[in-house]
Parts: sequence; C-alpha cells; structure tokens
Amino acid sequence: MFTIILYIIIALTLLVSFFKSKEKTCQALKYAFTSLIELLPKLIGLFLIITILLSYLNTEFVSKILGENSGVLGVFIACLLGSIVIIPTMIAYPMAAELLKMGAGYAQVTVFITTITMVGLLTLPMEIEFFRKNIAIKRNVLAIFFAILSSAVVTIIM
Amino acid sequence: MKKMVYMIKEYSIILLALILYLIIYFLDYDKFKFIISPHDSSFLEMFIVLPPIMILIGLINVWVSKDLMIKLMGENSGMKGSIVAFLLGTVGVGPLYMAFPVAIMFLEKGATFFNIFIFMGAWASIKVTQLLFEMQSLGVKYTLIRLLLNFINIVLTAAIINTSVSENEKRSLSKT
Repeated sequence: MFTIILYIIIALTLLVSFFKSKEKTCQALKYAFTSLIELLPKLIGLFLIITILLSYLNTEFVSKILGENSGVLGVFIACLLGSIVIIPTMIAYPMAAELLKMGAGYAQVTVFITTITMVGLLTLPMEIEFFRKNIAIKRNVLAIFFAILSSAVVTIIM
Repeated sequence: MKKMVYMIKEYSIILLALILYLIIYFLDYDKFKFIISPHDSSFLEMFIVLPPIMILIGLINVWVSKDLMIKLMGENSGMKGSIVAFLLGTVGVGPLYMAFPVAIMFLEKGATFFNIFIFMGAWASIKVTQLLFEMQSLGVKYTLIRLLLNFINIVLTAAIINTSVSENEKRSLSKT
C-alpha cells in the first residue's frame, strides 16, 4: 500500500522536475541509475543470504530458543540473532507477536526487534563502505547497548 | 590491481551465498527447494522500494542546492535542523540500509553529521509505516513505550557518535 503511494509521489515529482528542466531531470535519472548499479551487488548478496537465514529462522525455531523462562540467556541470544539479521519489519513484527504468544518475555522480544531494525552484522560491510569502519562499528555497538537497555526498561514497565 | 580487489570484495558476499546454496542443495534438498521457491513476497518489498529511492536521491542531488541543504539541516540549523532530519527519517521506506545512500547524500550536500544520524535512527526505528505495523502486531502501549525509548536512543547515539568522531573523519565521508 505504502509502496504504491511512494511510487505515485516519486512519479509526480519526476513529472514536475521534467517540466521544470528536462536537462536536470535526465541528470537526476543518470545519477540514480549509476547509484543503483553501485548498490546492486551489495544488495543481491544480502538478499541471498537473508533468504537462507530466514528459511531456517522460522517462529517455531526461534520460540524454542527464546521461549518462556529463557531469562538472561534468552536476551543475549535474541540480541545475537537480531544483530546478525536484518529482517523486513513486515516479517519481524508478526514473528515477535507470535513469540510473545508462545511465551517469550518482553525483554527478549524487545531486544530482538530493536537489534533487528537497528543493528546489522550482515549489512556491516555495506555500512562500512558508506561510513568507514570506525563509525559503522560504533553505531552498531551503541545500538546493541541501547537495545539491551530498552529491554530492561520495557520489562519493568510492561 | 586495486580495481580487482574491489571487485572481489563486492562480489564475495554473492559468492559466499551461492556456496551456501550449493551446500544446502546437497545436504537438504527439500530446504533448498523451499528457499528458492517464491514463498515470501515480503522480499520483493526490499527491492521494490529501491528504484524510487534511487530516483529520489538523483532528484535531491540535482535540485537541492548546497545552500538549501545547509539552511535545512546544516551547520547553523540548530534544533530546527534536527527536527527536519527526524521528520525526514520517519517517512523512510525500507530497512535501515536503504537510508545509507540518502544519508551520505545529505552529508555531501552540507547537512550536519549529527543530523544525518538522527535521520538514520528515525528511519531505522520510527518510520511511520513501521509504527503503524508495530501497533497492529504488538499493541499500542508497547509501541508507544518503545517509541519513547527509541527516540532517546536515537538522540543519544547521534550525540555520542558526533562527539567521539574527529572532524577529519567526518569530512572524509563526503568524499565517498
């Protein structure tokens, strides 16, 4: 749904740009194309690996590890799992909801979700290309730290 | 020679993936069949947002002058700049790594280092599309709590990285 809106907005913007300046619009498209070509190898590799990971990482398997009473160990495992993968939220959130139903605690689920969205070991190579090693690693480490902190707070509140 | 090393790095992940596929093919054929079957449309999502985002980057590159970017999110934009960065992040589409090229583009045009990290943080965890979905799957109360936590998280992370990275390093990013 949102993708359709996105495409419509971009199409309209392109149209406006085209009428304002054909030349600039062509420049923009050329730039877009070259950026796309640069990005593609990284994304295809990522996609292939995530497909493999996700086919093994279904809800039953994860709930066995992160289930009820998995405690602090569960939190760390959730953290590890989430950090490695970067899953589309479309999959991650329903999975998290299922995990909760199957008995996982809010702590584990929160760490899982936070690290899934903010930390990516798999995307680290790509991030390093854009941001250099130092910054990329710092950001991910900080994200992990705050993920664990968040999970502690959520456990207290929920 | 340098170009070759670069190419190898670029394609090494794809190579690794293909090797894994081969291994799975031989060890667990059923799993292999499952993996390569189109069982999950959500992956199309990953690639489907790519063209529009690339076009957006192209358009921004061509139409948004450095002056405009600096006014919006640059050196002296202060809190207003950060709010702009945050709002831009919330309308993101796709996972965090989609934000990288956009963020770098903002940086090259003159946005501050701090602001682009706010932008990326918002994109990663507080996208509007994501929030709605989270409320649907996990409840409003949980989403709001996490929203607040994420917000604090984003601001603190951006601040910490901003202060702990040297000016030289920040400038070196723009030459990517």
